Amino acid sequence: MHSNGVTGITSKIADFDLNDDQINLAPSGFAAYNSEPPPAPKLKSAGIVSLDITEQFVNAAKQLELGELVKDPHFTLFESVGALEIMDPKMDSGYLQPGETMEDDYDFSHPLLPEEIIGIIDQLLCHEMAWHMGHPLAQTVFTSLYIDRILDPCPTSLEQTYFDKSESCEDESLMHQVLRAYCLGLLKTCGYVNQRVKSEHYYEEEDFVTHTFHRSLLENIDHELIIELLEETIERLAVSNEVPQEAKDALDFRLGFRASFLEIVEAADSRTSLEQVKTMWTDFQLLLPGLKSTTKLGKPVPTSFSVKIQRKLASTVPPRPIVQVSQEAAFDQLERLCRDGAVAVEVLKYYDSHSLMTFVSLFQARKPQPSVYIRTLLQHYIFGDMIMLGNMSIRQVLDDDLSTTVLPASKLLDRANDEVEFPNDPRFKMAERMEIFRSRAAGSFLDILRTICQNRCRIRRTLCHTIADWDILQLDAEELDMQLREFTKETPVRDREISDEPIYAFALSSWAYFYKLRQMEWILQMGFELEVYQPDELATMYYYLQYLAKTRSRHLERIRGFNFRGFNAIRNKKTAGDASHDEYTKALTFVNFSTMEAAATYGLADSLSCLFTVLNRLSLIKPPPRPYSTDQMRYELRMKPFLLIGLPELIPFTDLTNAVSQPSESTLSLLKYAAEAAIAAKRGFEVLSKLSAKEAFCQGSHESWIKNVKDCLKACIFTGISVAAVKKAVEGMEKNGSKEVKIRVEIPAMGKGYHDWWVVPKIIPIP
Amino acid sequence: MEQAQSKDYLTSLLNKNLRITTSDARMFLGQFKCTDSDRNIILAHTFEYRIPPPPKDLGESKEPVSLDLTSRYLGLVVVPGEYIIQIEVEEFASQMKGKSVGGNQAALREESVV
Repeated sequence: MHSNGVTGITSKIADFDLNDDQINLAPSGFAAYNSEPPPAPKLKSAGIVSLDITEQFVNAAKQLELGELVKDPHFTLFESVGALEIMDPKMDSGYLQPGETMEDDYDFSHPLLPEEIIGIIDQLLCHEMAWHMGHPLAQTVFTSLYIDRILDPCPTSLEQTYFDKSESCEDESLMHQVLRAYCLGLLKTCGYVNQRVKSEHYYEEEDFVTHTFHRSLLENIDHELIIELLEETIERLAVSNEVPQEAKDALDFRLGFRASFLEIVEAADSRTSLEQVKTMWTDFQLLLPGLKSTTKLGKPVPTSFSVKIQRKLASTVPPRPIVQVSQEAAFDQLERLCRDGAVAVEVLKYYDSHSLMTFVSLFQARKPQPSVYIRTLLQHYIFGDMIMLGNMSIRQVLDDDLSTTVLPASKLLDRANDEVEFPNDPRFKMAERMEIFRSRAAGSFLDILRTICQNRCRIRRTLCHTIADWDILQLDAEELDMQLREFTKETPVRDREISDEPIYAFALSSWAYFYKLRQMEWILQMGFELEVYQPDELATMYYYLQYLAKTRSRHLERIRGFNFRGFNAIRNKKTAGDASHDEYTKALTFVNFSTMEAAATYGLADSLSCLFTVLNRLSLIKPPPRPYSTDQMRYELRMKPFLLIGLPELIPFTDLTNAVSQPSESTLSLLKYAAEAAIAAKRGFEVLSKLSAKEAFCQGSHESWIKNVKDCLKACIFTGISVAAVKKAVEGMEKNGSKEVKIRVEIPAMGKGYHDWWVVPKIIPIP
Repeated sequence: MEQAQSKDYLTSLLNKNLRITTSDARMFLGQFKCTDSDRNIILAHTFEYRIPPPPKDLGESKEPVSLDLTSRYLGLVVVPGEYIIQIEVEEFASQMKGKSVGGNQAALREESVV
């Protein structure tokens, strides 16, 4: 608890991974504060006395040489850099200007107009959404004096939440009650959201600040009581005749909105009421237009917000200004929250492991990315309490995945094996070895899902770190594959054309290799999305992508061979039940689908690589000045995540440079090849776009999957057009014998192209 | 005090809890980590206590004075020497036999000792 100084710094150092693509240099103001501070020590305690040593201290300090320090040997000056300087107005949030008072002289008993209540409520909504966007409560919701009044001192019952502390229940004005009920609902909502985010994986400095500055978000007050108060207030408002109708409606909207919001965040954690939660989100969204259209009635009350409240909050950071978020931005954020919330809950409907992964990755790729609260909800739905999607074991999902890729209808996945107790029985041995494999692989497998739930930069960064683990997993699995052979009595394939050695399936390691390749492709694709690579590097990086996708395609070919062999064996037997027949069909469908997808990927990547090589040759892409970098060093940097990977082998620098620049090929033949590859890829994407949800393993997210494939298709068509435009220009140049090519190139900014993973250059003719 | 003695004295205070009162009537309670010739003081795990203005009849009153101090956690702070008006060190009462208690901040003092 007391070590936040030191741990704060070590965690900062751990984050300084200078070799990574994204360097995390964000100030770690709140990270140093992850644990709650200890309660304030009592100043009066029987065992402790304090002695005035002012004189001795001052005299002793005077004896020190200028610049000489007396310090704790374990305390470093590096740490002291993080210390807050007391009495410095920029650092010390508790510093008072001469004549300034600690408290704002705000009169809480002062009556408020209905318009003012609307104004305050709408401002609070902006603050709440600013918090959802990643700003700390201290600079948003907690700047409201009314909120502060409720939270300090911490209330334990509704009776302790009156703004005017002299007021009793009967004489609270209607307007104060409306505001109080709304504030209570708001705080409770924040409490649920904070709880959810805190219990999942997120990055405090990048995503969200869960720090509550030592204030309780109404944990002591029951959710039902606040809902009741909101409802009572709605009724009291309805029968009142002191408020003009227009304002009355507006206030009614706001109270109803708050009650719904609170009910949703309370219910959203449930993993058993998919339809109900979905309906709640969509109904909630319908309330927003009413809110939006009445915002104009509000009259802001800026005096009811104060930056001074920060000096009362426990805080190791200097004072910071109130965050200003516009109404429009707040409503946008809220609308997205509803839309994404309604979709996220659908993850609970499980079809198969591949569909689950497709769902999560497409959901996370939504633009803009779903907010942190929704992302943590998604994590909770998937992994909460180590129970997958609320009702499945991790083993079920993992076995499902194995059976639909490399082990259809395999005796290795037969649950009956677990029942065998005789240690020499091969089934016992199989169960035992599979359990070793599962315990080894489950974490890595779930980490893929967990990783995709993070923010975009983190996804790539984490994949770069975990990919090495998959290489080791593959090796470990290979060991188990060889041991298992003895018990499964696997008969190897003998094919003299390929090798004199018998060929075994190596099912488990095949599976690991497949996922390793997938993630390596993602690392590159996310690199394009996050604009990690400079335009002049794109030829190389797309070459590498096609290399990986081609490797995956060949690997899938091998898996298919073994699946097909097994399938034929049971077809001939006819004794096997329908279930194993289905499993084989499903696995073969998946392997086919993934092969098609890999083919389309390497086709387009190949085409783009050739196109960029031509553009580099024609000097149409100007490399940025790089006084401290060389091609070799950049190669090492880009390949860093893959350096430790045994398979597929890293392409050495000179080989890669040669393969990309293809010096022996003429520019026109490169363009011809690029055009052919683009056409092949286009055909591939077209076929993919016609697949059913079941065939494409995107059940539950077919619509977004189709959109994604269509975006790839568009990028593909656009590539074809660009290739043709360059070809025409090069032909023109050769015909005229001129040295100048009459085109220029524009690289679309991120988000402006058809698909973030496909950076297609735009060719513009120069007259 | 001699220079060496002074250094020893200050060193003996390291890691003890100090209560530092500043010119704006706040008090900081934290672990003493470092000081220099300008008596700038670094405290770790510091709490800030805001002392309300002292009641006027403090001298005469025989009644124990009890004031509500508002406190909050700040962590690592450096208090510049120029703003320090009082420094107190916390000691265990059991180890204090025979030593006299100085200071005049009755508001902060533990009642049984006063």
